[in-house]
Amino acid sequence: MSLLAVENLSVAFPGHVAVREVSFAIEPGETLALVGESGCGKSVTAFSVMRLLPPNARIVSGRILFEGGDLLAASPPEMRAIRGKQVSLIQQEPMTSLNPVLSIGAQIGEVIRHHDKLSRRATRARSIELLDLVSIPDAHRRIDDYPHNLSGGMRQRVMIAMAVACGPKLLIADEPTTALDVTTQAQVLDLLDDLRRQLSMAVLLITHDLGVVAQWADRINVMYAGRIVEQAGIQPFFARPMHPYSRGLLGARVDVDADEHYSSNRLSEIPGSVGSAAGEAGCPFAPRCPLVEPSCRAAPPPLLAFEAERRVACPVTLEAAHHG
Amino acid sequence: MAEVLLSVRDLHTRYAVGKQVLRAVDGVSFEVEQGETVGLVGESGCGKSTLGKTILRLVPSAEGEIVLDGTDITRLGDSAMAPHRRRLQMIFQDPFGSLNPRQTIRTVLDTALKVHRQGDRPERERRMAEIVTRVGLPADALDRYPHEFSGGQRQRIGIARALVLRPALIVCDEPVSALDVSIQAQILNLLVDLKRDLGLSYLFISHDLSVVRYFADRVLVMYLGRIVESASHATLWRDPRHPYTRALFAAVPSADPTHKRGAPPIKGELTTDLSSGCRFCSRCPAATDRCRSEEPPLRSVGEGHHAACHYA
Amino acid sequence: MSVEAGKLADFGNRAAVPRKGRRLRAFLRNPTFVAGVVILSFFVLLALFADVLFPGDPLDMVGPPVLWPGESAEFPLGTDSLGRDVLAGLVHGARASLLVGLSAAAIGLAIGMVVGAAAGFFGGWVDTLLMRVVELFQTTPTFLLVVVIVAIGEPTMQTIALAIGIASWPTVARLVRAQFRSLREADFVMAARSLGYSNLRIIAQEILPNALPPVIVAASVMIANAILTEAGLSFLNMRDANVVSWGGMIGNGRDLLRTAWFLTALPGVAIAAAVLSLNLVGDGLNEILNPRSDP
Repeated sequence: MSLLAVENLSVAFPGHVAVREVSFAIEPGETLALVGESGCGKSVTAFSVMRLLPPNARIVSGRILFEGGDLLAASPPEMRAIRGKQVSLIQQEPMTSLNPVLSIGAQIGEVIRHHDKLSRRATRARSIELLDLVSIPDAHRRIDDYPHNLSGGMRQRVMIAMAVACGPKLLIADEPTTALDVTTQAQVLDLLDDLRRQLSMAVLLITHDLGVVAQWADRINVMYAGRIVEQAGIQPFFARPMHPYSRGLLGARVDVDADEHYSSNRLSEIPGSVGSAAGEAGCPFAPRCPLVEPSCRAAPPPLLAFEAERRVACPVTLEAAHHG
Repeated sequence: MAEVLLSVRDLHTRYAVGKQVLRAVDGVSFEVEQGETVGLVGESGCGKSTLGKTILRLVPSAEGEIVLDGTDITRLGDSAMAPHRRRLQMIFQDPFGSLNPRQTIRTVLDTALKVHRQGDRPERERRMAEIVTRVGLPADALDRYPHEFSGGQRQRIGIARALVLRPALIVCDEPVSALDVSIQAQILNLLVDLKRDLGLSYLFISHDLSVVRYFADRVLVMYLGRIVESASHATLWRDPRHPYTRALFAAVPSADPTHKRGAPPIKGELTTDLSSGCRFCSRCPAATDRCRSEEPPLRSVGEGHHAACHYA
Repeated sequence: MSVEAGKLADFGNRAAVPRKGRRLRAFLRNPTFVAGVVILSFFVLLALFADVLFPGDPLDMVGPPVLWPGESAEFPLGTDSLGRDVLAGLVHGARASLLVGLSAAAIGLAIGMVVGAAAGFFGGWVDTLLMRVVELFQTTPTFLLVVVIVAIGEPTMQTIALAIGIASWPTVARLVRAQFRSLREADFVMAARSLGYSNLRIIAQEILPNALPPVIVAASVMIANAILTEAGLSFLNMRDANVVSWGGMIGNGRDLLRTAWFLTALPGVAIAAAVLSLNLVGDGLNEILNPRSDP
């Protein structure tokens, strides 16, 4: 049984549908990357798992099965017991995720004591252990520091400490390093990867950065305008991206290792913008797709399997691949 | 030998933060030649944005000279600066904050033209229509408000604003960092086209190494207010000499899962402790006593290649 | 060319975003705002057509004294102790109260915006100096300040409006200063500076239009407060004897509070309704003008 199985999830806001019929699964201990640009619905999907959507959001359909139980049917007290203990979340902006008027020790302690009723002294000891675990130097002194005494990278480590404090089975990381410098980003992602192995934790990594995905994820789901358009293992995906949007994304990206320069290469663009998907009856990517055919605009293409572990929502590509 | 458009000599910018003085730009010198794109790369806190704003005279400099077209513009008054402002413009990072939400695009562009007395009404209309088309926006964009456009389109408007006075040099302050990858490619391609068609030069400021690698002719790496390495783009990537540059390259993840990087050879995080010696020594894996006591000067380590390290 | 394709496809985005016409509809869809505007319009119309509806001087003694409302068809709301028509008084009083409210608010806004803009934009010693002046005014209880100013001058409508305006500008100044301080750092202001625009142009054309929404909301509250202050002054007999105002009517009815309480109640209701309508308009404007993040 998968650790997390999202089945046919659709989430709507007044005026538009953010997530459409999204289905995917995460196995224990693996890192699944949910990749897409702004407006693709990846963050909304993550917040749906935690049941932390804003009040004007409506879950139109679907189930979110965590270890077999449907989170969407859980009561508020049941969800509160799950959040922080079984499923944790870290977000992009450590500046605003931490409470500025409480010391970091107090905030980590709060998480621990909410779930695992420990004494004050035991909580403090555990907090110091956690700060060591996330490589905060001088943990026994820094535990009394306030968020403003710490740098961005250290605050993100504190967030990670809080998220893993109770040994969750699943950690949702929503753009965890986007706001950090690249040298700090590498350190934080390495830390997350180490912790994942040590604590046998699965990670749902939400990001727009394909470099991060290539280095740290096991499997990838590409999202566009609320739908999943491609699912694959990491190596097969980067060796041969199939969906036109995936290919466009990789083509538009400048890779630091590639010897490309404007004087000799032009970046391949995806024309237009994601706004063109609004009101589209067929494939949401059709207005921008170089391979579009009339049949694409009739109905949204389903995710169809291609080889083991790979699914693509583009019949045109699949047809060409089977014949080619 | 191309003509030197901008020459920055020993520039310093300082901020007072409470009782302390923050030396955001601490002695920077470089040149931008006609038709060249100089990339300025560094992480947060290195002073690259402040340097850009100082060059534009948006932030007062403490010491040093900014020489544009052979004229020292460092301490010019507002009216004396006006003709130079036409030559030197800026593109900003945030497509949402860089446009006045209550002005139509026409107002934005027309005001610039009127204030600088660039022609009568029909002439201004013609120039506005031309620039809007050139940046890839439809002609009726002029009568719309910023909120009616997407992020990428707003960045095009920002570029139009920078271009409308026909500058020679544009300082681009993280122009694509706030955009989606697919839109980044559109804007970068646009900037390349504009450079070629209008003979522009750029000072391209970014924290994104991959983008700078693609876009710049020459690259300056900044750390804590100083340039620590400068070279042509090919040289820098082939043969980085400064430990910080190497650490930066090692840290950028590559979209090739078979190419796994090791942990970046760098410890800890940015501190602003500029007591003595090399400002990178607290994080450098190869720091020696000499590094801790003696600040290395930016010296030549090859043809057109400079690095500020005793051991480069 | 890919740029062409970009132009065309991008414009699918427009449909989801409000255009100028839709903003007007947003105004009309807000029930708070609409209710406030309706009530306020009623008073404005009364004020404008006071002379048409009730020609002659409302201070004329036209009937028997202390007639109750409903007793006589000629005086639907009765008469006061001197035989003056209460309804005529209320309608003319609307004009006086609204005029005082508007002029006082205008004076307060004018002074407050200039001071706030200068302090917020320039910072440094200008800010420090101006803020000390603001504090000087704010430490004095508003009503007392008004009383003092009116006592020094003559209690005419103009003086009263001026006094209230002088007492209320500090709040506007602080509001405008806060807006300017934050907007001053905005990228589009920096862009304006990089284009070589003068400080005056930046203050007036770039920042001020963006600083207005909270000021407009504050203005409606200021008008309401001005009406109340004027009523308070009139009640204390510091009023223009030649003009009928609601506060004056309340003051006149004070002696007959136990027997002819309608003389106090009716103008009181008028004041309450006018103040309520202004607050509703202010709340409605606040909801409409404040930027909301759309999903």
